[in-house]
Amino acid sequence: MKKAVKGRMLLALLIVFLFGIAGCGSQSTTQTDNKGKDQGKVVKIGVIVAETGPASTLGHAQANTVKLIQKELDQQGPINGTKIQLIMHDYETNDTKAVIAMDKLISEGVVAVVGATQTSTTMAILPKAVQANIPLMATAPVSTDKENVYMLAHSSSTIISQVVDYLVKHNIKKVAWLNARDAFGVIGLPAFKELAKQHDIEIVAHEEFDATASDMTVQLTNIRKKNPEAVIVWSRTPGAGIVARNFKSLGFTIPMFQSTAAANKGFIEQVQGNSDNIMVVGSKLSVVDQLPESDQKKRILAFRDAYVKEFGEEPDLFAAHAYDGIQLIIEAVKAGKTTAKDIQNFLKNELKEYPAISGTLDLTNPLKGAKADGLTLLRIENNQWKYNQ
Amino acid sequence: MDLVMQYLVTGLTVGSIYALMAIGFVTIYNITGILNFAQGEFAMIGALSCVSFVNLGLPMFAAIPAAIILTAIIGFAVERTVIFPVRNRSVITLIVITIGVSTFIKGLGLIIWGTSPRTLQPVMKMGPIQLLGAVINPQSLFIFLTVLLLLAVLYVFFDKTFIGSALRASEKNPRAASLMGINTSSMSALAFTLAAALGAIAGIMIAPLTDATYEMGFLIGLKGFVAMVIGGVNNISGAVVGGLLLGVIEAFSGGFISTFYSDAIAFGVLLLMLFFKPTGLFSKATGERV
Repeated sequence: MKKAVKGRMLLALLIVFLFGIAGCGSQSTTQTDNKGKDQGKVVKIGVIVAETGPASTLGHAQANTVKLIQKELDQQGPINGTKIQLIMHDYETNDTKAVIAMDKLISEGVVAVVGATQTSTTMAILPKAVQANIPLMATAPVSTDKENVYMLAHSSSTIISQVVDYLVKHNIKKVAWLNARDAFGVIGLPAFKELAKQHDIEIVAHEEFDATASDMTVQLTNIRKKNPEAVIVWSRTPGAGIVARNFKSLGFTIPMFQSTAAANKGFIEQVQGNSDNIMVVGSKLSVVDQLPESDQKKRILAFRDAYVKEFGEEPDLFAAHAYDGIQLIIEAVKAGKTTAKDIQNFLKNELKEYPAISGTLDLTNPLKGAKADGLTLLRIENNQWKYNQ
Repeated sequence: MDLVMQYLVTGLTVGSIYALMAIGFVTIYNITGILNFAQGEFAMIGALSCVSFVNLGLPMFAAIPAAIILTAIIGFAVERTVIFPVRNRSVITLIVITIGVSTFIKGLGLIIWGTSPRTLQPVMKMGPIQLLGAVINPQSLFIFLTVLLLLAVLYVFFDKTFIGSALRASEKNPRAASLMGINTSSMSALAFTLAAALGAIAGIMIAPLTDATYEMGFLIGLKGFVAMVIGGVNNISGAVVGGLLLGVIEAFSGGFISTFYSDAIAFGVLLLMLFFKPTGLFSKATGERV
């Protein structure tokens, strides 16, 4: 009798456990209908993004992009008889969930994984991709030497090179550096130091602040003592905007440069009317209408318009990275490559270079990230980004 | 001289923000004996809801009271839903609950307002003021005035009105207070409502200076707490002086030592204070354990 009760308990536990497992994966397959047994092959591409949680400001647009591409793929129908299925997992800004999602994707036999939204998450799922030997299309900047990682974001030195080009062109030799005391803020300086050395630019002051602090007047006053000819700020908002505002009220007249982390609507809203000397390294995506006619413009415009039509809002650079990552794999499928190994071979040895939305990708050296041709120095005019060329 | 002046002005500006936060901390502590770690989140709600009201087309003078009242209602709701049911537990339990409330409200703020910073236009549009070589933001003068005004109002409220005395009595000796016919349980609700309103005022006053984000509450809340400890945990004017002092220490250590360590120095002051004068600069040690 006792045994029977125990057995039943165990069974109940098992059922609960199974339900738990089934409910665990917050998977949202965007693929719509499989229509039973497909004649053609199905190629699965995994996507891991932070659709919810604090990183959702970045990940939300990426998730939208995935939905957009899946819709386009479904409308197009199979490519060379191969159907492409995007399997998206929301990791809820939780690295552990991303790793679990990665395991799941690998067990489902994906040929590549695009993601993740954040650098730390990408580093967490990277070993899994290496182990399974599938290409990882990294949408966040990572530093690694692994062969199957393709970085789609811009590296710090690519971003800062935009600023350095301007400094060199305008013969500015003395620069002050200000950064936020967080993961993003501290990675800029080493890259800048290297480039500054090459171009004889002297870093006369270096100050730090908390990205959520209320006032950066002290840092700016310290900088003023050193008489720099330009100030570079490496911070996310709200810190980025507060520095810009303090900069104005202290009456600085030298140019201020801000990073891609400030190239968003929030920053524009923060600096309203305080933007005379401010330049921000941003994506050409933000000013695509103002670009001179070119293939690049057509490409970016096509993506932007499709996105706006679907979601009623503008895509950002993070959406572009996700778009590029998926498009690369689709290119490979178009060329008839349907296994992880063939795709990697194709990218590195046949495609070699790809004109992506974020910037040209050199696939023979995929860890470099997108080239600077997708970036530009933006100014702010009438609360809009202004192309500055 | 210019430098010293600028650091002083900046220190006092930042310090008055901390002072505003500290006032809310002390108010709730004086009445309930609880350290309310959700105080910074009340400031966040006040600031962001004010921005939302303005965006809805409300004029400033209507948006500000609306935001304060909304936050006060939320403060009241917080007390009734999570503090009141466990009011007889130890104080430490209640403090931990406020930390939970803080995380909860912050998450809510993230969902409602997103992560991008929101700007609140200052009440008076003025350029920065030059004084003895230092630059002063007019909004910081407003913050200063608000601090002084609140000091006066709260002094009158706590020392000169019946309800204020009742509030203080229910902290000093709840049993005696209830014997005297004071409803101590509604006093706790009143304390949270009041502290939430004070938090909202703080948030609305500083938003034109720092912009409002869902995460703004944490750092200023923490600094407000340090200010309160420096000034004396149950002394409102002490907490204000503590806040100003903290701001000035931060500015001068940032200016003359290094901005890399200004936060470390500020929290170092907190540690020293707790080691050597745990009751704060301006509060007399009492025999009772509070």
